[in-house]
Amino acid sequence: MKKKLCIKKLTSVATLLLLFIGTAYLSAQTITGNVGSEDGPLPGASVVVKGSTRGTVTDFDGNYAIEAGTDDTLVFSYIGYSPKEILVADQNQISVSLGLDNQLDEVVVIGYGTQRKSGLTGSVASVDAEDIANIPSSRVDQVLQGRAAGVQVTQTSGAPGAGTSIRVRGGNSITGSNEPLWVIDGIVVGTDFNLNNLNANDIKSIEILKDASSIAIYGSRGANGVVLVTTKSGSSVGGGKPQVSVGIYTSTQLVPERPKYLSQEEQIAYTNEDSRFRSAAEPFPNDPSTYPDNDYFNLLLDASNIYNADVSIAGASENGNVNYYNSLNFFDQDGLIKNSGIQKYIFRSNIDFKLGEKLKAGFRINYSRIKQDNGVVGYGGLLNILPTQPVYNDDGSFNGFNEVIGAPFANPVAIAQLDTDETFSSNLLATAYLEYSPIKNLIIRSTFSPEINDAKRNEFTSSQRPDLLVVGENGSARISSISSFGWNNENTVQYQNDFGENHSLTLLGGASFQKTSIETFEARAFGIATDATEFNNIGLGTDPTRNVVGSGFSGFQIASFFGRANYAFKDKYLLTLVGRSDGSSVFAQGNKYNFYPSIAGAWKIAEEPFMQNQNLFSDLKLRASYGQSGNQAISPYNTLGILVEANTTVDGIEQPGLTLGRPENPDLKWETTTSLDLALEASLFGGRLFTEFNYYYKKTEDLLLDVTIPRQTGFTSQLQNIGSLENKGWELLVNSTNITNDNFNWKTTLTLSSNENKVLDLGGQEFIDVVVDEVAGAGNLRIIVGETVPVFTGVRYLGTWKSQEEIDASGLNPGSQVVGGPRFEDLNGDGLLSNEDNVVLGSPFPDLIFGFENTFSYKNLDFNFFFQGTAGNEVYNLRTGANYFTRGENPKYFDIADRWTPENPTSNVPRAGSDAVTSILSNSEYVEDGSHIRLKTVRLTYNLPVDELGWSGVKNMALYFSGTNLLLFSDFRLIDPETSNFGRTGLGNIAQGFSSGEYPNAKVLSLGLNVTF
Amino acid sequence: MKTQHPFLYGLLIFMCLISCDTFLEEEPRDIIAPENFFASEADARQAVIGIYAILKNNSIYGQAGLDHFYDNGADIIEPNRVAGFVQPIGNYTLDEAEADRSEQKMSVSDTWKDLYKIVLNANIIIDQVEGNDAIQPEMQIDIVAETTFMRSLAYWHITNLWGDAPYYTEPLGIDEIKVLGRVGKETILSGILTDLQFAQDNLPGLGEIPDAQRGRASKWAAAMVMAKIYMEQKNWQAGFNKCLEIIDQSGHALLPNYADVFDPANEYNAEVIWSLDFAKDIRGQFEEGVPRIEGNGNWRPSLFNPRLRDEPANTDERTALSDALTARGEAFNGTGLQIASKDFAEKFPINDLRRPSNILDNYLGFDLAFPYIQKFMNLNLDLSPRFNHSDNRLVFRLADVYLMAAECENEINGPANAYQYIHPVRQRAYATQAEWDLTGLNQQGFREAIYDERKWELAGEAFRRYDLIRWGILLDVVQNLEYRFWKPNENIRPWHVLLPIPLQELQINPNLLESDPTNNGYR
Repeated sequence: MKKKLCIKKLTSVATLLLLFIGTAYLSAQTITGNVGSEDGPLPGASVVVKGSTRGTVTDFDGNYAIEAGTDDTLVFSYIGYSPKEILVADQNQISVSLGLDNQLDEVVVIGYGTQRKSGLTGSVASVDAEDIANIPSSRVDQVLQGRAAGVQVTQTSGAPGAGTSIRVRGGNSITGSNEPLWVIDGIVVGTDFNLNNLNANDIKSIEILKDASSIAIYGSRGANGVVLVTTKSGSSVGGGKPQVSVGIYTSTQLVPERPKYLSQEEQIAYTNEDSRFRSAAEPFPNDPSTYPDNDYFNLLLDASNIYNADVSIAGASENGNVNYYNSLNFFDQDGLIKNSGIQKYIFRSNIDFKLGEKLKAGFRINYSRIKQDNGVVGYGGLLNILPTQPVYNDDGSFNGFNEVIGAPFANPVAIAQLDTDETFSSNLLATAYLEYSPIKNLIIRSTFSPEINDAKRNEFTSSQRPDLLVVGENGSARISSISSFGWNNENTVQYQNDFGENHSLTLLGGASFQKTSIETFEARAFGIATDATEFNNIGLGTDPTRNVVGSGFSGFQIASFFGRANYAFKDKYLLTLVGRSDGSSVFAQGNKYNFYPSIAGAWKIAEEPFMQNQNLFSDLKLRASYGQSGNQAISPYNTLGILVEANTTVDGIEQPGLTLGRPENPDLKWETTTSLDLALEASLFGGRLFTEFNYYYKKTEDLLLDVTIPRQTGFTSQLQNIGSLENKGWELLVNSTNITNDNFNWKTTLTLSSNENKVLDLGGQEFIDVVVDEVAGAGNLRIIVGETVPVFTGVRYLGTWKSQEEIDASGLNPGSQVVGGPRFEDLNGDGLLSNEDNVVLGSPFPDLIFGFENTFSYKNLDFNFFFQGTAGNEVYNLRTGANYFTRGENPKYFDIADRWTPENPTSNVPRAGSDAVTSILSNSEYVEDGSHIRLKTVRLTYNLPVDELGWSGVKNMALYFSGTNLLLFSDFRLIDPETSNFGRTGLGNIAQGFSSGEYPNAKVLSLGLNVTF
Repeated sequence: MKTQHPFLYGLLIFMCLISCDTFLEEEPRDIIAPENFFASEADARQAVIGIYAILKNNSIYGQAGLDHFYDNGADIIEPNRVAGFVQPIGNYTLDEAEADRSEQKMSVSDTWKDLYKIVLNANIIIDQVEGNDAIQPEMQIDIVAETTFMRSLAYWHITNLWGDAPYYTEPLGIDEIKVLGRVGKETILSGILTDLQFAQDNLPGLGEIPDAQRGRASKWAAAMVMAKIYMEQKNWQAGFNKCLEIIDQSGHALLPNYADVFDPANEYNAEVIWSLDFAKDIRGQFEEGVPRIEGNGNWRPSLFNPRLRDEPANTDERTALSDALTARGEAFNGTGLQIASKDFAEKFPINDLRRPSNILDNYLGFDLAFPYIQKFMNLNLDLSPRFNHSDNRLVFRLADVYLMAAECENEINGPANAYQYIHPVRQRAYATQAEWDLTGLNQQGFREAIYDERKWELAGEAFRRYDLIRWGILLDVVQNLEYRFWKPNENIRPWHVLLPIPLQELQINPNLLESDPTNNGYR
């Protein structure tokens, strides 16, 4: 109905427009020119002869032509920019540059185009280069933390080059990825692009698309939000002269606080007590002083440095026909833990050419080469070595045997010195585009974007490792590689026109094709007796029966067709319609395609006549959107049944074998997210205060779940499309200029967001267990109808049993409980401790996330600090099993000194060894509060007065000092709650918030200098 | 010309639309789909090898999966200290929830799953191979016979462990399998007896398996399972006949020396009817319980090997013991979690020549704190290192058949003609005839002699609890024993003769409770 109305109006508007042009021909001369802004030409700007009905709009290069007399005044206007009036007089060429209406109406990048922020109907968060300048950061995702409302960024590890986990308005999927789609300069690079390949300094802006209307153009891949990264170009550097920028910084990373454990003496007492309880021999029969007291943490962690250098040259030809931006980045970081680090070289070249009146072309090329030392010693492992474990034997050689367990000891000091694990990777991400405008207002654009990725990993285990010497084993080496090639072809046609003063229309249609294939290869050899060649000559392996060789192939294709219509009436009422049809190879025939529509509208209230007589609001906008997006959520070939390798030996010789690894599953289909977004934007006090408030509701259906099935099938689970979940929440952004005058400025930015997530249906099941650790089994992570997805579950830990009477009265099997041992709640009172007694213990996702930034500038000095944090999230501490409850062979938290003993019968810390009697289930002691506040960055910048100093060649020069992660307020046992043991892909899709002592986030102090010539 | 460009674009997009169906086709290159797999005999053989890999999983023969049920919580094996994964049956704390808990992939639920995994794979193989033109008819029979044996063996264990159970022999879809309820144990047994006879008739005999194929099941393994089923059914005559078939026709023979049966250097000796092959260093021979540890994942001998920290009895001599071991290229680096029980060690007759193989309480002159079952130990650091053992898993051997024949004959006709079957086993166990010669027993006396003889002869070979249950004396035996630290004698209940179906299975397939709402007495 609405659509039909629209078309009717359009036809009448078009007729009117033709009439205008007709009458214009009657009068005098033709004026031509260009309308632009700081950011380049303004296509679609309106040029009107004042006091008449004559007008036109600029083409895609900002050019216009209009008939006007010498007495006429031309009015140049563009939504969001201050209009300019110029008397024609005797000029026949008039070019103008429009300034922004107010500072907030910037141009933002959206899917397949750009839009002024005031013209948006959807929800888009922007981060500008300015916001992140002078922050020493090697990855773009890191700088997003706390800066965009509704976007939760979690630093999963402090290891050099480690990625982050990002959730835009909560997670929509359980099995599939919840990471947003990354689009770099229009190239769809997926959810797993290695952001180490990008130079943070090349970035002009980052936009995060959050609501249905803005993500629907990415259809099936947009459900988790879309991050658009735009790199710098030379178009803003005018005058035909190149601009050279140089930036250098150096940082020191400091070792963070260490989790607190028992002292050596206390630990020995515990371990002996544990053995006595088990009727086993005491491992430390002698005085504690006769055993070593080593601090493996101090032995392997050291303060370390970062060096970074950037050079860029940008410029544009005088006529503006060519512009370019080239940069080179070198980054070198040593990790806190010995033998970890990253070295990067990144080269970028961006060029745009105007090949003629109607043709434009350009390139974006990014090449990176990265060497990563993956580290051969795990931080979590360091926390699990008894202080009594010797580093060296009496003869000075490395110790390689753990007497307490009676097993070889993987000595981290030796391993850090002897082993190697490094990855070399190179990535080429490029796009070439051609833009053609056959007639005015019509732009046809086609891009072709290849991505080539090659990574090779070298691992070497030395034959001199003491734990191998103990068992008489030789060294081994492994070489593995991944190469991928993908291409992305996007074709769009855009039509843009204004019809009279009141109607503005932009139509976009397009088709996109993508194909990616990945090949993997690995070779591993054992029995390498010499360290001389490390991994470089794996042919030296002397044990060919153990050789491991493997290769793999995976690939997928996506074909999509999409369209968008933006219509504005009187620049007050905005309407956007988007639809995209996506086809993916990963689904079986019949389920390949899905269509994702959306609709959005906005009302710019401030433009209404009744708002013209007030001064409070300079801008006020209400907008709403509704639509669908998808998630393919499964990997290639998941619908096919497969036979998996099950080789085994016959008469000592390995023979090929196969078993059914997965039955076929042709019914799998897309997950679909339907979302509603309501928002109010207001700019007050002449733009001094800007606020944006969003409310959203999202419902995801046909969830792909790995559903537990009866084991009598021979399997434990099967992927099925069942169930649904919802996310709802709100986001608030406040930008405030508190004080502004000639010498002093104070600005504050606050982002605040809250997401509530709930499982609506699991295909009839009440809950699903997610198995995060095959050895420990199920029970600690669950998806439950009516709860957040996921929740940590377990039984309640009630302290210790105080008497035999208590045990007898409990109805539990007395053989499995002991006085002083852990007491868990038998919730249903059936005399069994089982998963039926589980309660919800918390969720990894916070109730509230926030970022709070203040910038003060006084004359040439800028001071900035940025807090960021979460509230209401929990962390599942995987160390608690070993470090609180079980086995004397493991170090214990410091508070275990106060455990239950016959002499300390009131303690609620279980007695040593009692886990041998009572199975330790997932329980409330494992779950800790993850709320925290972090002083993410502090920065002091001195902008040198280059003019006063008479340094004529220098445009500007800034010296800065900054600190990252300087303060952390958290009660977490392992210090930093912001970790993820399972990373961000695979199991990490759902199993967030697990910690087993991950690589810590260092405190970083940096000193840097930026100069522009 | 210019206006043609948008038209060309439209055309391009249109053409893409047409060809998209091929563009969106998946090209699986590195995976094998079941539909097009069974295209040759070699393919089918690979699938059969796959079943052997499942059999070697920790949940079945690999580590202590089956030993939990067949040997722990009886009168032969006990851990040397409190150990979580042994406790459910070792101390009879087992319940439905405990049965769910998977530890190192060798708990009740893992065994349940893997036995049915064999059934699933076997059904697919039989369905795909029978009448498959790409495979020679005689090879079809050969493959189907071996697969049928594996399936029957899995079902045999299933009925031993759970009694009534889901039973199907067709290649059903997952959706059909997951709702199956329990079928009476006798129905299953009669089905697999037919299948086993087919397997016995068509599997190769002892001489027909080439050396390079050692470790595969022969027709006598099938006959062995049949004999055991007959005896459990108290069909003594059929059991006796089957035992005689094996003794007379198989070509297997008792070794003159008991200890030689367990020689790691001669794992396929004449007495061994079936032994599952394990090899050092080769990873992925089965699904490993703790995948991150170096080695081949075969821990079983480590469970029997001592741990230095527990030994010797005089702790001051630990370094001396360690040095002595090192000098021999050996180490006490096991876990000591499956060792001789207190009672077994105390009662093992001193004059029994089998004692040193079953009770090791002194090594290299050092008195040990615990008695170890020497015949399953392997301390050699080079050939059988910790968690990387090369030692096979012994499944069936001929001495068992002799004792089974003796038992059957005694049950049918009394002891008179039964001595001839028990004596060959006893003769090598004692130095003099006066010691091995049994005479003058009545039927009950002979029965009890068999109870003891099976204990000394077959200790730790995963028959004991099964035998005690079969004889109906498990409770009586356990309740009257003294244990090291646990109290299985106090905890055992009548329903412990079977395992519970794990809780989660009941939660997601309530049909399992239909025929027996008590879940074998556990609820």
